[in-house]
Amino acid sequence: MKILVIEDEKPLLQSIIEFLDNEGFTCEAAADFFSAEEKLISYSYDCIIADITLPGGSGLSLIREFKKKNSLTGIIIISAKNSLDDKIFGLDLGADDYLTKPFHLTELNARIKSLIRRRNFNGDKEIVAGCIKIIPESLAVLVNDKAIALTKKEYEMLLYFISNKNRVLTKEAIAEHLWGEQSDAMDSFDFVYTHLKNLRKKILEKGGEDSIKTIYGIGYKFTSA
Amino acid sequence: MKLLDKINRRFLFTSTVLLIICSVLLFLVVRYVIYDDMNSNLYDEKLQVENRFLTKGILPAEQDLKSNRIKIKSIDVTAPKLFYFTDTLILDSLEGEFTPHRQLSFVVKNNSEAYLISISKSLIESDDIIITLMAFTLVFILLLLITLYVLNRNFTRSIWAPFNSTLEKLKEFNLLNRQPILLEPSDILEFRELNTTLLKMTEQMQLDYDKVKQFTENASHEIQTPLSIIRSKVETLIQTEHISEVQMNTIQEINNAVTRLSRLSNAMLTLTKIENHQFGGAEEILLNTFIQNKLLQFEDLIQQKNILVTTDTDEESKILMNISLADLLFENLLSNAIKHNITNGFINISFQQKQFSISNSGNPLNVSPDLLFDRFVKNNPASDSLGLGLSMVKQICVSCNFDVTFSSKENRHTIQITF
Repeated sequence: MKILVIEDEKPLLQSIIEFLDNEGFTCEAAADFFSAEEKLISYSYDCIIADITLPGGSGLSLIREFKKKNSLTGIIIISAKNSLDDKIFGLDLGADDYLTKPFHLTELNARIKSLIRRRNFNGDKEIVAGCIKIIPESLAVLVNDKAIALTKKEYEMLLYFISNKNRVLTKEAIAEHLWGEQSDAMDSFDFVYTHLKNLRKKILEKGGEDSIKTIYGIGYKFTSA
Repeated sequence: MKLLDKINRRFLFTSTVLLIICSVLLFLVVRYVIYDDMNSNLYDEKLQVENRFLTKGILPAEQDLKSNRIKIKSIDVTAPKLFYFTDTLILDSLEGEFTPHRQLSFVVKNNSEAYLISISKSLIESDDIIITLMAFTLVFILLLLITLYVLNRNFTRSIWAPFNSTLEKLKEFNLLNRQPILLEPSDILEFRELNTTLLKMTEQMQLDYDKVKQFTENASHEIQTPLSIIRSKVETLIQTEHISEVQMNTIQEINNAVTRLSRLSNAMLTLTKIENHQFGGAEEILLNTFIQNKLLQFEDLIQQKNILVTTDTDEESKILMNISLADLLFENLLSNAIKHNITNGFINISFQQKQFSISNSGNPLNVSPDLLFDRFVKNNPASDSLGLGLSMVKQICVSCNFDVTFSSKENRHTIQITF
């Protein structure tokens, strides 16, 4: 999977590339308008992560132009602007997703994988991690080939874990993934733990391994070979 | 009341008063003139009669003509020589009724005889003259006034037209459109001055607005970017092996601080944007649907605290406001009602006749309710909530001209908004 990351802040660009590299993606970077333009013209990508506030030109026009010629590549906009209008505008332009800065790297990862799944007509129809198999099309989850019934939030949590296999997910990142802005209203992230407990129980009931490890006070990790 | 109506009303009132005064004066003057004329005629005839009597000893013959009724009465020679005018009613044989007459009675005497002579003249003709004259003059005055009124109306309408056009243009003016205001030129000095001043003012407003808008956009970017860098580095750090629990906790604190700072900067910038009226056009929003959607978004959190939510909103009620602002408003209202609620608490939402209210159970307030609208004021200073939620609600309401109040009774807190 080839990904182009367009971001003018070098430290941030570096972090993103490092993370995605470790996920097994082939990554290329562009830190300004012209190199982004060049790369877009010369190569093809499966997914583009673009910051729209770029020096040298408007990131938005880049996306607009690009979308006209290539409708198959997925585009995720990353931006500091977070008003409803900005998001609607970005999506109207043809972007597939909009992530507000500062975002969690694990969130970006999950969204990229989700995007690729949606657009990848020839790809895998199932996600496998250890004894767990997820079939996104039908929202089915199998443990040791036996179906388990998960609530919507439990399903999304499991998917988030598996998309970020062997990565530490902070409680906060999980809360934001599941409840978005509404997580502001939460007193604490104990709520995350409640859902996690239920998820674990259901997996263990069907004889699955306990793959979700607690990482001290900061979060959890789904470990798998 | 409208300007032209006021002008016309004043004009009508003044004209009517003038008309009445003129009529009265006219009547008095005309009557005076005509009666005076009548009196002069009578007096002249008196002189004639006196003269003839004194020189030739001849008295006029009694007669009973309309214009000249003469009555002669013999009186005592010692009677004083006097004369007086009277108004009497005399039977007019032609008319068949008593009609008003002007009468001059005077005494003529010589050494041996004295007579009281009365000459009367019918006033009917004079009265007719007065009436006709009055009528014609009044009609003329009335016509004049009506013509002036109509002309005035049309004139003022066309003269004030540029003013009305300017008023319309002002109403349409919107900082978000970034279009300078286009005012019709006028040859009237005052309107030209008005236009020049308005143009300057709106230009300055646009500049100020743009400056603040630019600031919020830049500030947002400038603040969130380093925060993104910090977060990404922290998350990279988390992924490394061999981190002790103590180190992990430290990293957690950094992460929390990043989140807080990010939320804070967002909230403050949003507040600035609202104050700067950067949120555009209003649209009609179906309140019930909107609230139900929001409640759905908060579903899990409501369940977690086992809060009982009751709504009492009319299916059809609509409010008029910008949709992003509406989203922010209800987001903050609900978030506030949930966050400061107790387990097994309640939330009541109702909307009747433009009055919206949301009540929630919660701990008693330590702060005066009004203060909570101020920025950074929190009921519990130790909590890590920003203290901006209600400020946001207040700012949105101020910006949209809605009335908002916060009241608290024991453990029940209510926010009321009049749309």
